[in-house]
Amino acid sequence: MARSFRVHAENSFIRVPENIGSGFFAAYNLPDGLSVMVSDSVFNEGLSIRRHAVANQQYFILQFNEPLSDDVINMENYNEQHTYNLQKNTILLTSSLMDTTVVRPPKVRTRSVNIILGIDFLNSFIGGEVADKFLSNYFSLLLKKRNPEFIGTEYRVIMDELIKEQIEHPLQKKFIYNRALLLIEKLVTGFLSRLEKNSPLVKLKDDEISRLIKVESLLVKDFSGTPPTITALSKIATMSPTKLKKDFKSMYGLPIYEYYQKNRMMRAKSLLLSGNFAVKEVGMMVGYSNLGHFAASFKKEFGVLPSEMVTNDHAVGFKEKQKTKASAIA
Amino acid sequence: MGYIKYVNLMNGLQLLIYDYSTVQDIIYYRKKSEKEFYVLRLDDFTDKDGISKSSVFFGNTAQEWYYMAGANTHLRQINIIFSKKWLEDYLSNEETGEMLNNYLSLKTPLVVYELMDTEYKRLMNEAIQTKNERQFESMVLQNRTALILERFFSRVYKGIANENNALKISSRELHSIKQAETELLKDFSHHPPAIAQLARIAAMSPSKLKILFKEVFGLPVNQYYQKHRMNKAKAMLLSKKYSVREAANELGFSSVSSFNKAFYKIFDELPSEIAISLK
Repeated sequence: MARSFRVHAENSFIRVPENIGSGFFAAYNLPDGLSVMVSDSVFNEGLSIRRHAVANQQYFILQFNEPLSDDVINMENYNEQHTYNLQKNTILLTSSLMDTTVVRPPKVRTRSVNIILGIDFLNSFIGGEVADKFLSNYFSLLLKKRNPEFIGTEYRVIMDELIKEQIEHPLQKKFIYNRALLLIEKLVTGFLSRLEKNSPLVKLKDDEISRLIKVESLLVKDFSGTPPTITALSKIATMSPTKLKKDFKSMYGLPIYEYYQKNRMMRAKSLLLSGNFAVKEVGMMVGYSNLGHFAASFKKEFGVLPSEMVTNDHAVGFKEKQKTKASAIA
Repeated sequence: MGYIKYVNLMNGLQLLIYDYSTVQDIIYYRKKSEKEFYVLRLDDFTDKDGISKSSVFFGNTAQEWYYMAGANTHLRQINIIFSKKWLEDYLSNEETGEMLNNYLSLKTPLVVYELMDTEYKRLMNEAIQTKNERQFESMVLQNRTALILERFFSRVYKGIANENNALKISSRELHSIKQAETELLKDFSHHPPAIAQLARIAAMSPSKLKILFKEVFGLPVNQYYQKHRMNKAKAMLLSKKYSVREAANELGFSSVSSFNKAFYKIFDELPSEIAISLK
């Protein structure tokens, strides 16, 4: 990749040169043959990445892509077999055994996490039986040009933790490794439980899906003001409010406003945990003028008050044993 | 009532999950073991009045420990067990790994003990609730365990980073202090070694020893000695193998009354009360 941009890669970190676009790519080699690459970048021109099938070893490439643009740009070659548009296939799992082409639209800022993992690792991690069930169902949907899974709140929270130029954590490798495994867990559990519930998601048309993705990204973009109304959203989605509500729920698992509220609280939580803001500031940032309301909503979502979230973080020390023994006696 | 679950995870981790209610009082006592294993333990007790206590404990099997639970208490525990080798592998490849490893082997067999915060509780709940989704169980347990370990070790690291701002100490000095500490706790039946003697072992001046000792172990030399002596006393009484008089003798107290007094000062109860509570 570095070669194609004609730049020199330092410590697996690449900054996209100005004549091509902007942003960065950072790659990490982790234990158990896992690799993770994160990126936040824009390219001036559309990009098409072709990967040829290799027969001798099987590994998977799992991509999570979040394009930060409301407009869906149709690329011409999208309908070819094994060609995927990152704007539609926001979560995409492909195997090294098949030829794939991934296309990226021009001038769309995209945040992404790519995970490369071997089949043996996948089997031992999720269990052989579950792995078979997951992979066969996933690929049969994918080959029918269906989009098996979308980026929602929980994915986004983990992605946000990973997509940084420099990940500051005392156990950086473990941190990345654990987040990558969590993403895999969410995908496998989310996909399979939806499959078992026989969700009507598969009945949605391609362009309906991309309009719903647009609605979702609009909904969670900004929490500081009042959320868009269902009527406004249904205009954007060009579907009736009833249909919008029904389809949104089938895609993201929650009714529109519950989904909005959940995301809002998760944003609040991550702002609090960042340690840079007071509870009051965070409340304002997620659109609460009344701190009591903020605290109550927060508690409803996480079971603890926002203040408990911040004050609990004592440094680990070597504590007096007599006190601690006493506390172990229930 | 309840269950105990034993799971072997990838990469040689062992996991024990307890989720049960007591019918009568129980005491759990863990003796020293020759094989060296580490345990990271998350405890959550809810008693019959609905009051809950929870804690995070880290230690190794070279350390004696115990806990008690009253009747009608709901106990939930996660024990993550791993070898010294596992810990070394875990910490290798990380920039902070060497520092953490040094710190932990220095503190061993002593323990890290803290109250469980909301994030630990969330992870613990998620690990225990997996029984609803059998097919994903091992994957979810694997990830929760990894996150608990990550959280624990990164908090230890932050703790050291805070300590070290005030503490300028070389690894050779740390090693010497650790030697002095081993000597101090070697034998409780006689008088503890004098500071001068410890200073010779550590090859530093008495005043330097005193300062560094307190920095590293958090207590002055003699208080530290006393604390461990009394912990030993409590463990002896709880084992039911010693009477109060025998324990006092064994630990070098000249009289039972001075033993009682020292014991009360640390635990807020008399040795005889421990003995009674066991009957």
